[in-house]
This record gives sequence, structure tokens and C-alpha cells, in this order.
Amino acid sequence: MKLKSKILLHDHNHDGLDRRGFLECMAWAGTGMLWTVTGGLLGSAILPGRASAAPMMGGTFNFVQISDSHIGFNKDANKDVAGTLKEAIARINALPEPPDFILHTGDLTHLCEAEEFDTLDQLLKGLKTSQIFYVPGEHDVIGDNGKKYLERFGKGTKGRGWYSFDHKGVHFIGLVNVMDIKENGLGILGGEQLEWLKDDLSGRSSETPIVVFAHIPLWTVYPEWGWGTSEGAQALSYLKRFGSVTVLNGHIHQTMKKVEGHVTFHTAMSTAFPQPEPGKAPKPGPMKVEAGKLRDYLGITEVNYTEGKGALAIVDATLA
Amino acid sequence: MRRWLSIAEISEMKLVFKILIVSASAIIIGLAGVRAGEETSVRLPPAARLGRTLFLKNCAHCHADDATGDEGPDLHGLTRSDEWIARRIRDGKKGQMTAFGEKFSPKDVDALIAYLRTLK
Repeated sequence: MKLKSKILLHDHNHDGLDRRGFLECMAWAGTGMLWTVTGGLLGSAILPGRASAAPMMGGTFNFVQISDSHIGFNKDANKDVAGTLKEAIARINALPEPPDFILHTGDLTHLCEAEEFDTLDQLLKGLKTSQIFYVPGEHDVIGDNGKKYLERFGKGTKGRGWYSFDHKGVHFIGLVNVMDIKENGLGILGGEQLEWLKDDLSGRSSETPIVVFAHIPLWTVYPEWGWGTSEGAQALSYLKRFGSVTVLNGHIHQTMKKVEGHVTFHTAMSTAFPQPEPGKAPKPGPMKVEAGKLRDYLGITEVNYTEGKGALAIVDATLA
Repeated sequence: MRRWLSIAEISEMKLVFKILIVSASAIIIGLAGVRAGEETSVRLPPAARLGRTLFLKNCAHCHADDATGDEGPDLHGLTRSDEWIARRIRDGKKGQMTAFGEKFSPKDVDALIAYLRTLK
């Protein structure tokens, strides 16, 4: 698996990761970078190759994030989104250490059609990992306020599909920020979900590593294109006291990373098609790239956690 | 012959001047609002206003905020009948457009059509 040469380093404590310039500090699709969080302090390292090539030590686990499969999309940017999802599945199945589970951060479908959900379900049956956790993207709920999505993936969830679970000492929280999105496209969590989140976190030790996943970025990436969540700051205020928080999102179809205090934000590549860099096109949307380059922009994200050490590593890998 | 103004007269003039300034500011701000919002709140009839809100939240994703088209087509100057447009909104087009029949009420569909008809 190739990793593109553009690899960025950030040492949050000393390298002056400039908030004003964070958009310039983003790691674009295809880059690979190892993030470690120990006791809430972040460090980083260049990936010499596939991070998964390193043997897993005892007391560790890994999981994989995939996002924005857009089953049903058939325009020029990628006329075979089922095919590229299959390639992503093959990559996951080929990992030396099988992931404990998969997170899909939404936009499973493109048009919210029943057949698209069914196709996705069939394709994901090709994963060797059977446990998959979902959150919806706006495409999954746009036609029916999430009826079809919740029928399939809403079992055991709260409210309009949010939930949490624990895995080997890490607390995972799946948030839904795509119901009733605002006119400007920004995501919205809603009072009921925010109350639930506050309650879900109350009483938990601040040493508990937290992973939050939702479709639209919880941090403000580029509000002009609706790439952010209007109540994201409020949600994040509940997470401030925790020493290690990782926020995983999709929606923008490109990798981007930012660190604020003990919180690491990360967005994943799509398995379907890329979108332009913020502000570098008149508007967001499917971006057609040079023939043969599509897979440089599509990919998966692997996350490794080491129990006891509080270490969390996020690794992006393209399909190229 | 020049006459000095009393303190009371000066105070009254100041008050009138302040009122004029405030009024002028309000008019300027109001005009700017009309320009910035264009058809949003002032020029659109109520049904089309609701339609515009629904459009921005549901349709702009594919047809662009200004409805000039993106992944979906430009929606200006539609020549199809209201019935045809309503059916397309409700049923969608397989593989091309989401069906909104489970989401939009008949009133919502009417509002959307009212908005689309303002797009010349």
C-alpha cells in the first residue's frame, strides 16, 4: 500500500501548531501519520509504511473507521462506488491484526433508497469483522427523516439514533448531527441529544479514554460550506475534563486533523469520491480527479489503542 | 437680528437630531437587509418563503444554494407542470434523485413549488 509523500508532523506541545493556520496544517487524503496520546499529551511520528505492519502487543486493540460510501452514486467522480467499497473491505480484511470492530461514520447511501441500504449491507457482509457500528450521514436520512436508516441500524439506540458503548476500557459515543441540518448545511445535535451526552459522561472518570464519532465534523472546519456542527462547542465542553478524547468524523471526504488541548479531531477519507479542499472550489461536492488517481483520494482509517498506556494512534491509508 | 438659543431650545434640537440619526440608520440597515437577504423574507410570498427554507435544507445539497444546479439540474425557469414537479419531489427518480414523499407534507410540496416558480 502506497503512502503519499506529503506527511505532516505536529507536536502539539512544542511545534506551534498554529490555530490560525490549521487549515494549512491538515493532512490530505493519502497521507499517513501516527498520533499518540499519552496522559492527554499529544505527540506524533511519521509512518515508515503501513502502521499495521507493526505487530500488535498484548493489551491492545484496533478498530477501523470507514466513511461516506455513498452507495447509489453514479456520476463521473466515481461510477463504481460499490467497487471501491469492496476494495476498502479487502484492505480491512488484509490487515495483519483483524480489527475488533468497524465504525462507519455515515453517508452509507447516496439517495436514501432501500435498495442502496440493502446493497451496502450485502457488501459489508464481506468483512471478516462482523461487528459494525454506524452513525447516519445526511444522505441516509434526507428522504424520510431517518426512517429507513433507523429501521436497519437504530436498534438499541437512543433518541434519533445516538448511543454509546464501552470496549476494553475505552468509551465510544456515536452522535447524530444530520437530522434537520440547518439552512447553511451545518450539523445540529439538538437539546435532547446534548442532555443525553452530558448524562452519559457524568460520573465517568476523567481518565477514561473517549472516542466520539459522528458524520459532520464536530469542529468548525469550513462553515461557508456547512462543514461544522452548530452546537459542537457545547458538546465538546462536556468532554474537556477527559484526558484523552478522539473525535472521528466523515462528511468532507478528505483527511484533516486538528488538536485542541486533550482533544484530537480527525476526518476520514471517503470510500466513494473526493471533495475539494475547503475554499478551493466554488462549492463542495463530488470532485472528479485525473484518471487513475481516484484511489489516491479514497481510503480507510485504522485506530490502535494500547490499554494502560492511554496511547491512541490514528493511521490513514489510501486505496492506491 | 441674531438671537441666542436657549438651553431648552438647544436640548430640543439635539433630541430632534438624534431622532433623525437613529431613523436614518434604521432605514439604511433595513435597506441593507433587503439587499443582503434578497428574496428571503421581503420579496417572497409566505408559501415561497417556506419553500425556500425547505429547499436550502433538503435540495441545495444537489441543486446548489442558488438552485443553479450541481449534481442535480438547474431549477430556474422550469416548464413542467405543478403536478409533474410535485410527483418528482414525492417519488424522486431512481438512481438520480431522493424521494421525499415520506418527509414532505402536501403543504411542503406546494411551498417548494411556489419557491421554484420564483426562480426565473
